[in-house]
Amino acid sequence: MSTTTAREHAEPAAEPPADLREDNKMFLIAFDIALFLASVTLAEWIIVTLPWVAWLVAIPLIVLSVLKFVGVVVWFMHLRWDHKLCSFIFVGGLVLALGTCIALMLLFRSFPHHIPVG
Amino acid sequence: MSSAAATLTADHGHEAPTNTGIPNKKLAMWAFLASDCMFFGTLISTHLIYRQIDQSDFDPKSVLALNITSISTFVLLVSSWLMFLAVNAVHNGKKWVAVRYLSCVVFFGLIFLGFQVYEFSHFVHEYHLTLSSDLFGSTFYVMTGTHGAHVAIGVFWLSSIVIYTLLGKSDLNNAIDIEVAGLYWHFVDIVWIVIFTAVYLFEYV
Repeated sequence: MSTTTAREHAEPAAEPPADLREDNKMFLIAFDIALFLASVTLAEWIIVTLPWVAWLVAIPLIVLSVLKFVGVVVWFMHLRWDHKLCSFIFVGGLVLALGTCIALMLLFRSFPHHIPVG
Repeated sequence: MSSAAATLTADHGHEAPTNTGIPNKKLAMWAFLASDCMFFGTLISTHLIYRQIDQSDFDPKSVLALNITSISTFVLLVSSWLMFLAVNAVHNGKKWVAVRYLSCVVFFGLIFLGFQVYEFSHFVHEYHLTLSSDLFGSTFYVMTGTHGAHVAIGVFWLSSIVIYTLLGKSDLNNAIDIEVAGLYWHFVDIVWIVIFTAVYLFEYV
């Protein structure tokens, strides 16, 4: 039997089982996200070493930090696929925390002499 | 419904049905994480406010080691990725794969804690920066120490799951327990993302 004929009669490569395909898919998604988050951390590290004006450094840092935060919450914590109530509870707490932070920062930036130091 | 969503909702067989359709443990964990957001929010804002008004000549840039902290941030991100894979493995009924991933998460968590212990001891011995030495020391140690305590609790929690499974006292058949532990671990990671930017990186701006 020639090689060509043997190849023609060869069994087609078996498809991997569905659960293995799903596993590989989830692994690759998670790997892509982890790689993206690691790249963002590297980008942050590079940005702080650049001799730019403060606001030009601060804005990308905040944006990258928010990207990392959202990446972990939405994909790693499964919030994307979870019940809407879970998102509502978590985002509610987050908004309250962020609101408190912003309010405190504005308040004490405006009235620094009111802070009891020492 | 996506396949991932189907996987997530299908494995709650050991949980009693609830009105919301969300297992009680999971709902409680999300509520706890929301309250913990406020807890860390106040700690971080306190640190940032006191950094603004601190009149001392102390320059945090002289003590903070950005290289080491960047590596420990990377370590925590990798642990989050492994935790995601562990939860996925449990949902697919692959107990021993999940145990392997969980062991790796514990290992990376311990590396992170090791970096923090090194950083704290370095600050105390080299720079004499203590909890009561100045404002920066007080807010820095309280905030990063609280985060470190959260990591330590997470390591203890996950390692107890691994040990119980290895001893045969648990068979990881209740996926929601691992998922809840995973939520906690990922939360610890996102808190560090914020602390890394607000406390470490902003010092260099």
